[in-house]
Formats: sequence, structure tokens, C-alpha cells
Amino acid sequence: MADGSVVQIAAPLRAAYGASVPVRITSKLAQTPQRWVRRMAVVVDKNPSPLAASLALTPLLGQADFELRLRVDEYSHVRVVSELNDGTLHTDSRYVKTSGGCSAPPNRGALNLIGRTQFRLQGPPRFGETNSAEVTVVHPNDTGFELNQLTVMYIPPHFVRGLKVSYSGAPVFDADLDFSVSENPTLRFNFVPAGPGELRAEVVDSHDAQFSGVLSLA
Amino acid sequence: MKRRTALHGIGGLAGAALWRGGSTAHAALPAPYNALVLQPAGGPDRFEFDLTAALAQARRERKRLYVYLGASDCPFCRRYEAFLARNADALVPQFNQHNYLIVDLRSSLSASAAKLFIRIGQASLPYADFQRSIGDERARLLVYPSVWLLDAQAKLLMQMPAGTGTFETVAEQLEILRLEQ
Repeated sequence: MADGSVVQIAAPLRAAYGASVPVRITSKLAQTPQRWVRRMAVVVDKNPSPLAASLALTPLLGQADFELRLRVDEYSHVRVVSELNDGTLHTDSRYVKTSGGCSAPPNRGALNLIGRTQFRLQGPPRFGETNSAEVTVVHPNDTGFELNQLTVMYIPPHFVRGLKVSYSGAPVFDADLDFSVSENPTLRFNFVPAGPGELRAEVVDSHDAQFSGVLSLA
Repeated sequence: MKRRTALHGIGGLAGAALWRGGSTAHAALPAPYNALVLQPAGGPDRFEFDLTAALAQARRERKRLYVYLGASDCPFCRRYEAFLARNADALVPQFNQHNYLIVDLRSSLSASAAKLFIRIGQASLPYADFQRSIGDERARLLVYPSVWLLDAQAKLLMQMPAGTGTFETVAEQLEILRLEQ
């Protein structure tokens, strides 16, 4: 279904930079054990690798809302497809006018910090309630289409391809990612911590390098 | 996806030019647009554009600003200016109808982000700081050409994209004038 009753996606018609288009996904139902979004796919139709993110979700999210930034290479629809636990599919899309998002000059300000993974909680933790958090991985997320302007050689692809977030050992969501996600991949998400515990991210990139980040909630 | 040429890779930001240095031709919005032309003050290491008078005029005339930053040696600027020239009959009345005071900042590619300053009143800020001060997301990278849509108090009316490549048709230029997001 594409009536916006289950999932909505918001993105600007024109973003400041094609390499960093802000996208917000809003689910119109709470994640409950009875009815929940179990998978979500984010697609940029005209990108060289259209599937930007594929997420496996759990009720622990509380609310399956996400924010992230995408590369959009040319005028394209940006879509979300949500699959509920009953198998029904729901979608929404926005048309984005931009170009060059996958070939934009990279911003390589912190190469020594590649892999640093950090959480940020929006406000003090509230146990038993829905909390908003974001996880950021410092990473160039090179597409393979970017030009090194000094060597005039293409920069080989090197991007985050997996991100697993758990709380006290229980999965919150698993994300398969692609270079259509902007550099320094950041996902804003919700989760419901039952009590004090540890928010953990496990990251793997396209060179099979592994990174992790932890935030303890007390 | 197609691979781009080196030039397109550089210009991939919505058909724009990054700073490369040098100066050859002349930047100018076409005459029918009756733009307020501002030349930079300062030496070779400082290109300062003073928006104070333009903002005062906008307040007097109850207008909003369409600020165009073009470089004399930027092919993407020539392309946008040529587009405006070709479509002046259709677009000039629309700029007027939507109450824009057009300001033409005449720069060159040698005016990099560190050298480009925008002055409003007593405050003169380098490009990135100016962008941050008005809440414009384009602080990271200066791209020629650039357009700002401001009200008479220098408040950002709409986030604009880097470059002009996404509004070089009449229909898309009208989307911009109507502030369609």
C-alpha cells in the first residue's frame, strides 16, 4: 500500500548537497509484539546501487522512525518499503532533484578516526519509554565514483556495509548499508530500554574491518 | 551508473564549479533582470561583498533578495546566465511578480571560501561563518555559482542547493521563485 497510512518518507525537493540529502522515515504505528515493522528498505531509484539500506527491526525500537543522510546521484525518487510482521508491504516516496551525490568530492577531515562509533542520546534516558538516539560511524563511505582531485584517480569504494545495534544483548535493529548512505553514516532511531544497560553498535565495512561503540545507560 | 569525467566529477554538485583559481571572462546577470551589481572590496586575499545597502533597499521597497554569486571564470556561471538570458521574457516578470530584488555578486574562482567575506552592517564574516550564521547548510563547500534567497532582514527564506544545475529550466526556476521545497 502507498497511502501513507503506515509509513511516510520526507526529503527536501532540493538538498544543499547531493552527497548529503537528509531523509526522515516515520512509521504511523507503534512497534508492539502484536503488530510491528519487521523490515524496512530505503531505495534511491536512480543511484548506481539503489538499495541504500535494508533494516531488520524489532519491537524494541518502540517506534520504527529513522533519520539518515543519503547520496542522490541524479533526479530520482527516494523510497521506503516497510514490511509488517503480517507480511503486508507499505511504501512511500519523495522525488528529489539533485545530481552528483555519488561523485561529489569527498570530505576527508578525519581519516585517522575511521571506525570511531559513537551514540548520542537525545536527553537523559527514560526507562520503559521510547528514547531517541543516534549512532554515527566516522567513515568516508567512498562510493568508487569520487575523484581524487590531486591524483585525478578514482577513489576505490570503501564503505560501511553492516551496522547492528543492540541493547543489553537484545537486538534493536540490524542494517545492511551501501555507499548510497552519506559519509560518516548516521542513523537516528528510537528504542525502549526496560532498565539500565548497554547500547552497543557492531560495525563492519567493505574491507571487513570491524568497529564497535558502546553507550552505558544508568 | 555512468562514470563521470573529471570535470563532471568536480562539477557533480548540481552542475557547479569548485574553486580552481584563475580569472578570464566577465560575470554578469543579463541586463533585463536589472540586478543590483556588487563588486568585491579588498585585495587579492580578501573578496568582501557588502549586502548592507541591498538589504536596506529591500526593506524600503518591501522586497526579498535573490542573491547570485557568479565568478568571472566559471563555465557553470556562464551556463546559468545564458539560461536566464534565453528566458528573460518569461522569467523577468516572474522575478518581479514574486517581489525579488536581484543582487549580482561578481566574483572570481580565486575567491575561495577562506577569501570570500560577506558583510552586513558591522559584521563581516568569511563564507563558512556567514553560512552558519544564517542557518544555510552549504557551509562546508563554496560552489560557484550560488544563489541565496533572503528576506530583507537577511533571514534565509529557503535552503538552496549547491550550484544552479537543478533550476535551469523555466519551470524549475519558477519553483525556486515560489519557494517550493
